[in-house]
Amino acid sequence: MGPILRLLTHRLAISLLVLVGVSMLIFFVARVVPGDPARIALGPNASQEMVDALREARHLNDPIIVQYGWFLRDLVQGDLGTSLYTRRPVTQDIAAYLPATLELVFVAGALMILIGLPLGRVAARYSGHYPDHLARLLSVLAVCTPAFVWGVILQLLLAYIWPVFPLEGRLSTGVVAPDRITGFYTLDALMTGQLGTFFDALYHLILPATALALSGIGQTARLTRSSMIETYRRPYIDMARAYGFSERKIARRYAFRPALIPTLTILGLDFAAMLANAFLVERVFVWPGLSRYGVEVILRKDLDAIVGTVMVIAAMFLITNLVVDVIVSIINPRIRLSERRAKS
Amino acid sequence: MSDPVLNIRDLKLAFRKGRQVTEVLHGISLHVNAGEKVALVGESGSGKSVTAQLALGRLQQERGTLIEGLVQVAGIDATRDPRALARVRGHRVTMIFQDPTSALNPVFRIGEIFAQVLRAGGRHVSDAEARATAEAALAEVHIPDPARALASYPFQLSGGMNQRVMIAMALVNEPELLLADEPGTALDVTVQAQTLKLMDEMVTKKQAAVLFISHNLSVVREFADRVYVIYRGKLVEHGRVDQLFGNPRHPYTRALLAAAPKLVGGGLPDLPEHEPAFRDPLIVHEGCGEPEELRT
Amino acid sequence: MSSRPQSIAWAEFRSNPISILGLVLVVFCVGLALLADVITPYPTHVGPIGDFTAINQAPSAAHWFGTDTIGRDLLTRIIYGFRLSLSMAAMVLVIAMPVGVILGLLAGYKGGWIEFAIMRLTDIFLAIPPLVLAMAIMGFLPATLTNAMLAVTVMWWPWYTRLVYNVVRSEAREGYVLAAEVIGASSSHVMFREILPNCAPAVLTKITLDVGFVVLMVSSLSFLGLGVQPPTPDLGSMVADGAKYMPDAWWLSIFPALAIMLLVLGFNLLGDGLREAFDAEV
Repeated sequence: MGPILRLLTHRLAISLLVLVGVSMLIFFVARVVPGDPARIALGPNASQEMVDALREARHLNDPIIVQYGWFLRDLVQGDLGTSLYTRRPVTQDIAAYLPATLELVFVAGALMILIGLPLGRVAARYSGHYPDHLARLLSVLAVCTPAFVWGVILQLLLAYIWPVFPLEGRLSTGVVAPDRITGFYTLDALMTGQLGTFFDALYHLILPATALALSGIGQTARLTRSSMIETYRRPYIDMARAYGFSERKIARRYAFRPALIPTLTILGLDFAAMLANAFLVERVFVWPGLSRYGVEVILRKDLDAIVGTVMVIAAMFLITNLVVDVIVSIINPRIRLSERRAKS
Repeated sequence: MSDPVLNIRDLKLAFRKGRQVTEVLHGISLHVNAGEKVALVGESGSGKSVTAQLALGRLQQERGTLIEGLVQVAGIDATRDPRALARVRGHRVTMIFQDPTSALNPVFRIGEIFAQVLRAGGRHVSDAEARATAEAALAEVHIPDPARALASYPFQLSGGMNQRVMIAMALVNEPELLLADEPGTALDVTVQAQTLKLMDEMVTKKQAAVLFISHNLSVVREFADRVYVIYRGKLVEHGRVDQLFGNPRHPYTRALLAAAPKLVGGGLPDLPEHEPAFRDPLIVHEGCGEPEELRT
Repeated sequence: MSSRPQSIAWAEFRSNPISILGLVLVVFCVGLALLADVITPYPTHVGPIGDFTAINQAPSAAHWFGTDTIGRDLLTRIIYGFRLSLSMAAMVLVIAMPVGVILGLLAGYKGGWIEFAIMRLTDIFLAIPPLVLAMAIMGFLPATLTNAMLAVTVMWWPWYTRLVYNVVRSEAREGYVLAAEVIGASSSHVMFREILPNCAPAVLTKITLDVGFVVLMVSSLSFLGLGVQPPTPDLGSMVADGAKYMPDAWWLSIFPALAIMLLVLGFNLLGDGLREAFDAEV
């Protein structure tokens, strides 16, 4: 585990630096825009004294560099400021809304892997034949269509016209949310042994997660396909065939593992993109996640909350890429062993 | 004399792409008897590698491939029954590749690939048995620390080491026929020479027949019993090594011999199609005719 | 990176029916957008005023895609939506592309602290999902068409920087660059005259793909209510507004949704075709 730990710390350090960069970017953008943030926050009806008081409390009269210093100090202490909309600490708000979004993204990510990878594998296996064309067409369609369009179409077809799935929300009316342990309704329901609630939560997840996953599924299938085809041209596949390895075994293991390495990196990016696309899907399915909060604070020009939300999403984005890097290095012995060699 | 392990009769091969048909083999016949070492020599593009592909049954299932004539491998008709051939690939017929390092999957350990080879050969072995067999096979090809080699990834071993691994894999299932497609051309000359020596030693020990495919006549001289010279999809000369080197009769063979030492950079004289020698029938040296039972 | 001569690239492109389909779709959509004033059946329905005698009508011969809640012809508004989306995409790329390309050239060719500064800045921008960054910028600015365009532009250039940077890094070692340097060509000459033309296939392919993705991004913003405001006919906000009347007036959101799909699909297929034809890494 040594070299992987080293890789992890190295990447973690880089990610932290990037995160600091993100904080600077978003902080300065927030301060550079025209208008007095305090006035915007309090609205046109507030008295000048109230505005001045807020300016003082938020250090808005200091030079911008000093303001950033205050911001950074609070950030290190885990304080993202207070939302002017909910009047609660931004961290607390995010903690309340984030699990719903993450649950949706995780389920969509699972769908992306479970459907996208095999689809790409089949397409590569039948490259140039009918299943390949079908898979390619489907994946291009999936990639080209924004998540909210999928949401609207799925909702119309499978919730209105042929109502097999619930229209919106995380639970049916009358079903009580499980006690909060992780914030994921499915997990919490399982942990507290409420099977009925678990199935209801899962049932509500299917449509939004599918809408969110579709473009990732298409992307994954496309990449897996081209990566597999590339791998199939390699001499070691000729070798495998010359030595009578079964085509099944080649497709599932011998060609699949090397083909997975480039695919995984992109898979990580797609997964991270879902964090953003979740905003659109949540809107369609009235999902009480970070999107509802994010759009609300943006419309209300709630600066601290906007900065906080962006920071949290950027952090998750970086964590995802970090995890993917580690997984890739575990699968790819070349990276894993070159790290070891560098150390000794 | 028993049946030849590889028997090719009047083989024609063409590729079709769209409306265009390109013939790459214009009716060649060759055979390799059990335990015999035969070389097929020609420059790149002459059709020597596709011949090996056909013997492995790898081209038969590709689309756009037109095959005429007979390819018989270990008694199996490779053209009519590619499935039966597929079942014997990897144990009755095996192959050694040009670049051993790229022929070994970079994300699997040598030991894992070896186990796959054993199992694809129809052996139902446990992991421990596979490891023991593989270690013994690697020791046979003089790999100093077999256990360590098995635990390594291909890119951690040298090209020469990987070539030894490849030879061990090719022979571990005791094949009747080994196809060697320019083995070690990707390696440097000394390693290549060692490889050939090792291969010679191993096939003699295991009594496997070899079809050795090369562009280099001088390499062939050390190794083969008989030689076929192929030029533009057609066999032009066939004889025992001593006959062919002592008295090359086809102008192309002579050109090959003359070019041999400087083959790395220099090209070969291009024989114009209208030159009479090209239209001549195959030159066969004495005693190298077809096996008796095939003359019908 | 390898790029093929144009004639071969064109032959390759032509032989792929999927690419041709992409080209046809793009020409169709761009044509509709250009001729919107001429071919739309009810050009006056672009604004806030419709035909109150014909509200919420299902698709019919008079209104192929139906009418909305204030009686405006949906087909007309979708065609104008094409025009809006495409012109916004053009504006975004016209600004973002040159900025990104020049920064990428500088970073890749100059190296040193310039490379470090530009590429780390790029990393920072690329560490935030584009939609989220654009949303955040919209959070600080009033929701107008220009601001939406600005927000998307601000997050779009880094992709070109990274693309060109990678091309330059591989090209800088090529013989022709060394040759130009040896004979004493200025660095701007080497960058713009020698290296830049070799980035063209990759950049061109990326632009084609990006038209689709910018359309997607802009419509996503307006779907969230953070972009173009009514009554300007934007496909994203049409989907959002229409969703309120599901399922009875299903056409209100389904047709604009399909229109977005068609537009993005066209540019994607065309871009894919170009990528394969030029053999470009994008």
